[in-house]
Amino acid sequence: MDLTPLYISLRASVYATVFAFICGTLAAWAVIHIQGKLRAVADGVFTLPLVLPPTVLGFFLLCIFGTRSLVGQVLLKAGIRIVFDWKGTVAASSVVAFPLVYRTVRAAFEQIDESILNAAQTLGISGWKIFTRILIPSARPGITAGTILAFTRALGEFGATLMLAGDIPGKTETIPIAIWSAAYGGDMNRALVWVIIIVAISFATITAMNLFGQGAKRK
Amino acid sequence: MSIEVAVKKKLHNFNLDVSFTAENEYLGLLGASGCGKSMTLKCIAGIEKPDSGYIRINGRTVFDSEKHINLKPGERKCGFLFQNYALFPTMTIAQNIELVLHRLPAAVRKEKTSAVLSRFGIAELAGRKCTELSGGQQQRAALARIMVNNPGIIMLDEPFSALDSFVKQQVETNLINMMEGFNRTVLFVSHDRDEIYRICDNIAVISDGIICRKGTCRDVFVNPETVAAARLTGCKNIAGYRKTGKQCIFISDWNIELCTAADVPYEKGYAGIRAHYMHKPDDTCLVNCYDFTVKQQLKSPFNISVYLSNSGAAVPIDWEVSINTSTITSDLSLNAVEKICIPPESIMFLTE
Repeated sequence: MDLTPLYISLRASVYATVFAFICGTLAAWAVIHIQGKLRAVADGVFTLPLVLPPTVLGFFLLCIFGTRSLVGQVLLKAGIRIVFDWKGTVAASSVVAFPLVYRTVRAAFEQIDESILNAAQTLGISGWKIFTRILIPSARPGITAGTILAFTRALGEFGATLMLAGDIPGKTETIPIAIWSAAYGGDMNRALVWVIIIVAISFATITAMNLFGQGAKRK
Repeated sequence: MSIEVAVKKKLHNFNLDVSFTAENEYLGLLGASGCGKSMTLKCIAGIEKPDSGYIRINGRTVFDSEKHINLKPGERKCGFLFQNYALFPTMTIAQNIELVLHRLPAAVRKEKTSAVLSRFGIAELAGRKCTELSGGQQQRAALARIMVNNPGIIMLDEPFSALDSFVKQQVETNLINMMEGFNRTVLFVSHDRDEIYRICDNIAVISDGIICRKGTCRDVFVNPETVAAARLTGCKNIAGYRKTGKQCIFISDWNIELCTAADVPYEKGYAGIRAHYMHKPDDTCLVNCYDFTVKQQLKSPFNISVYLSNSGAAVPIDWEVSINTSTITSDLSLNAVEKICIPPESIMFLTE
């Protein structure tokens, strides 16, 4: 059996998780510093990928990275192709995974006692040090949970990936797309194998997170 | 070392409007919760931004709304001891202090950290996390973390309110000893009048966002001047009076006419009587002795609050009796009639 969809999916998920982890955490940090109505707007923008249909995200991504768009052309000149390329699977997964990190990390940041952050400020500790040495360590359980959720969500990404990267076997065919094309082509056995694989990976990841979380709490 | 503050800040339907100065002294800010005392400290530290006014620390302007000066909290050199001590929870005590010194080379940082930890008597706790420390130890660590930053002034926000009552006094003594030699200005915020009286030189009473009385501790407790200050310094009995003579007032709430030691200042005003200055009749008491009915008693281990009512009175008077000096409290019964004296010199005249 050809295992390239597993490889393509894992590659997309790992890259997307790294992207979502970095951007989601930074976005959460930025949003807790915003005051007033702008905060609600920023939060809305960052949460939108969670609630929009993946096809809508795929449409937006095509508009941004399409060969006829400005960004797409600049990237093409630099030799980077997103559309109908494995990098498209990364882009699509990143966008859907991002809000999961953003929201869990923001909630974890907001749980931190404000006087701790105020104390750090009055002691002259720089904003970046506060972020890296106080906020992130204090929010670690939330960041871990958000990152694992992001990984499993990236692994299951289908709609936006199909629109942006297409279904090119051996190149952009992720596990969800392999299931779809196998079932569509009447090969239910092949579809079933991939269904079992993706359920196993997702279940194992979430269970590991829960066991890890319990262990941390017991301490 | 000095601080000058004059700030205004509007928050929803609360207005903070305070101005005071302090120089090489312990200034206590006494007030009920929500009166604006913590907000005042936050404005000074730069955590909150006042709407208008100025703040000068040791002659340096750290905030001035007209000159558009608003220094960041880290540039103000304010040592702020938070109510919950606000130690960084994921770090050890030593790491807490080292982070404050993060701009210094590692060797200097280590040396300064161990020096300050031994100065505060917590060298052996350096490797512990704050969750493993008692409240008193956390307070020492937090104070060490403040001192290592070499602050121009120190602000203590309800430093003992998170402690169990039986360790409070010891921690209080420790804090005073540790602060000794720190010849700077200290602002001490509390709702506990006894704490402030013990610790501070001067006191500013804050009520509803405004300083209603300022002075030395002794002065403010002897003569609170305003109703709010009287209440916050622990005066239980406050009621409106009407002048009936040069040294004579009638208090309708208590349906009682009282002689006063001082001349009555206004035709109408408020009178305050501290509950523990009232007593059973003795040789010294010639006036203001009345028969009261015992309406209710609240028994604490070492004192009893007795609510007394004169016939025709709308509001009872609170009389506080220490148990060890009193032989009669045990046989006080409900609705019993007691003759009680209110010494004329104990009557305070107050304004709204």
